[in-house]
Amino acid sequence: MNKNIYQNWIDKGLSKGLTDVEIYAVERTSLSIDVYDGKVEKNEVSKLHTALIKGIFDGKATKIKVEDLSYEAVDDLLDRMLDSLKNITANEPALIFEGSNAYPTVDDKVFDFSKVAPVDKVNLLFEIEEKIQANEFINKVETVSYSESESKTVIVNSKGLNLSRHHTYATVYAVGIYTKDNQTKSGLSYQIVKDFSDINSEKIVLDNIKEGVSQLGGKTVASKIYPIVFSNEMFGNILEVFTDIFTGEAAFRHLTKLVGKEDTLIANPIVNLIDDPLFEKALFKVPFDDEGVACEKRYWIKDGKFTGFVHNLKTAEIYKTKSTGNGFTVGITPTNLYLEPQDKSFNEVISDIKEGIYITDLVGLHAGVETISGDFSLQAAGFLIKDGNVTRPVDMIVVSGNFFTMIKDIEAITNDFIFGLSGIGTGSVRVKGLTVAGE
Amino acid sequence: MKLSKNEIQEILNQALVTGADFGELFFENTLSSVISLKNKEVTNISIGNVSGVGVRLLKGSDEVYGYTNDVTKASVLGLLEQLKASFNDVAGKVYPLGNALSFNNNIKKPFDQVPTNEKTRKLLEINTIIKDSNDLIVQAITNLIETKQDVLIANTEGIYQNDERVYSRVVLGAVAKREEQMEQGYESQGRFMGFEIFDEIDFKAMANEVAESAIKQLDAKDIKAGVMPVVIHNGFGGVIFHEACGHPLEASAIAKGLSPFVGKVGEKVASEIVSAYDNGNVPGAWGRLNFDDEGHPTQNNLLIENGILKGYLIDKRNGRTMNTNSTGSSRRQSYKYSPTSRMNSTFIANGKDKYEDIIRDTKYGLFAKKLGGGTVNPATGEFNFAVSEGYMIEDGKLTDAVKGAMLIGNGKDILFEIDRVADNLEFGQGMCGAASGSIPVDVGQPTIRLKKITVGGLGNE
Repeated sequence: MNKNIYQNWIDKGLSKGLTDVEIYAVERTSLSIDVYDGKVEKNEVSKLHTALIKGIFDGKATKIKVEDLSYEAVDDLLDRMLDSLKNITANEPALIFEGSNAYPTVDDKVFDFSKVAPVDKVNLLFEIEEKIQANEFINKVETVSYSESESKTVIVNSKGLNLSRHHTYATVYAVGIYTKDNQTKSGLSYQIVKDFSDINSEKIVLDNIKEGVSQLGGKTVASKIYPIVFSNEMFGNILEVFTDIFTGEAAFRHLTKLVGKEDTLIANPIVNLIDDPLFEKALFKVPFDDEGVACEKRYWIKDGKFTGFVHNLKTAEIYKTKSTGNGFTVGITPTNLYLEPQDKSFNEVISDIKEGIYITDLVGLHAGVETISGDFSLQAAGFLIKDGNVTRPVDMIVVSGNFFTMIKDIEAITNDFIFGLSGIGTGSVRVKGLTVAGE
Repeated sequence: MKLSKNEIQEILNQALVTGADFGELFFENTLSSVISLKNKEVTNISIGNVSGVGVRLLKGSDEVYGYTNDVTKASVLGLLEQLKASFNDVAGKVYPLGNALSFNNNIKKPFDQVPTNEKTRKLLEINTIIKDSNDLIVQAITNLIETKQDVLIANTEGIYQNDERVYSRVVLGAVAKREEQMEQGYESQGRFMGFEIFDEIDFKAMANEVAESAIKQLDAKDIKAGVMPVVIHNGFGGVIFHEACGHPLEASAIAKGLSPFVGKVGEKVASEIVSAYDNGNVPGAWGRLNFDDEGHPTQNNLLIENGILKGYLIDKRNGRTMNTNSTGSSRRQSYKYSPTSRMNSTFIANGKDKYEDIIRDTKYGLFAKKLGGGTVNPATGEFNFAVSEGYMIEDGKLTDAVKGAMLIGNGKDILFEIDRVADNLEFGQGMCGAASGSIPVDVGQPTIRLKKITVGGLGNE
């Protein structure tokens, strides 16, 4: 039924003079529930059917974003698209793709979360809230939230491409506010699952209390250079901010210092940064990108060497190579990027640190980072490492460094590997030294 | 809008039958365009619409919300049925829809009526200035973002109010490269107006400044970390007040008791030279609205007067918890978000000092000429701001350009640290992200001095 609508749009676009048209359409339903103070505080449902239409005219390409799917609105936007295309002056490749020869098979579970009774979802949240509330240092459980989402994506184009994906997942998270001696700290814990029965409410409770309570009593430290260990979650966040500098788009726009660094050592030789669309430990397996190109496993950094930029159709054409299957609607992005861990435990790795800082929280990552120069300066919190042991909490410090220097100074990657909220997989990472501002 | 007033009334008549005491429909139709230029070429023009309806039911402060882009009576009623299932009580009372209040945006050049090639010509001039200003500039960026948001808010208390929000924003960027080193310069200005923004603002001067700023960064030294006095310049420097105090004054933080300002109205929360406002209706301002996203007229809200806390920013739902009226401060990015209390144009009012005197009277410290982004945790009050252009102050004079400075502190302390306020109030524009999405806001202040704050940075002796 919908494919007929899309075919109509393609036909309409072609009749207006576009040489190629591609539709990327998503049908998404979602539910989210927040509880607070023993009550359901918020209950939200949504149903959306939206599309991105890509059009090519005179060797130029652009996209329009469509939420009003009525005939008149789409017709009007297609006219505007044509006007836009006539005013683009840059000569950059404009391509759509007929499809890869083969796509990897993904046996992805599509669990129907809507089959779980709403009362079970609400009770789960109450249970988490109650258990966190029982902690002696709890000030308030700010929120406990459940959300589920189902999305069906279709990519069709005038070259005959016809692909679809179907995903479901749910997220549970809790925010607890803990207070002791007039100091307030928040704990955030979460879990993303593809099956309702995978939700581990006990772990969400324990993680929350651990994060909140362990920070209480935090003090600053003297300003100087310290050996630093970033937690797995935080190092993933840093890597996520810097993924853009590995893209052909950044290279083409002079927005990355990695141009000319292909096949040279940019990081410590223990560093292997790998994008694996089918990585077994990742939550989502990705057979193809949003341009219909089959995804493949690829090293971004191998034994410390930069292996070259990753591409979508456009930048691949500019650099006379093949798309690496990283063309997504938001830009050129990884699928399941991860830093390969070493076979070393966290305790082993910190054992010879006389005085250092274990960083478990970084705030303001998008404000305090310059991806081009690589300089970063970030509000941080964590723990003091003394004589090989994690000791008292540390807060209100700023940790500063340069990404390019830091990845050369990586001394160890521990085996506490996770895919964190950033979507990037890594263990905790020890770096030689970074400047810390405290008192 | 796709549904008639009668149809909307019919939908609202169904809204409270299961026991909710307030129902609201938020219809939206937004058209937006982004024109991007890089190194003297128009690299992209993208257009999009945002179109749909949000349905909200309240009972006391309990809320259910739903949204869809399928704006038909049947679809909205279907959504409503789902939401109504959350309640089981005596039906609430529905008042007949009233009449919309009129407004005049006084838009001189609506973006729909200016030909695309006239826009690209203007942008090309500006982009060329950035690119040609210095051989070290490797990337010149010029973007024009235009948005027209038409909304209609109808609720069971009889509000039936449309509004039209017209935004234009120009973003300029420059990347300078010398050998291995690359640095960025960035500036943007946004207004509640059409293409006449180009008659109001001197973007050519701004283009030169942005290029110069990127070049200057090439010679900037890494700042040495520590605790020191910081002079924060006017305009976008106001982001410090926005993050550290504005967010904790929003009813969403107050109603849950998650703010250091809870219960502090009438108490001293800042040094007595500080007065601050959030104004929802500054003419032509980026953060302005005629009516908030619950259909209430926006107003000028006094927050702090001579150091004494005077009020909060309140939306309907949190106002119910707090037993107070809305301050016209309810906002949302789109129909995909339920609204909550947010800022519009937030600023520290002018003081009596002169900017030059503040610098002259500072023995040693940092002059934060431009701030970048920042964040705050409203529950703990901890905040951070990046300094995107800074200079050292030594013996009352500006000396070396410094980079990489990050200011951190706690919102409940920082207002007491302000010991000088100048008389040169200006606004800067940004997009503010929070629970109800990303919305245009102004931040503003005159030049101020903080006695001491922790400054992070890379430099060492």
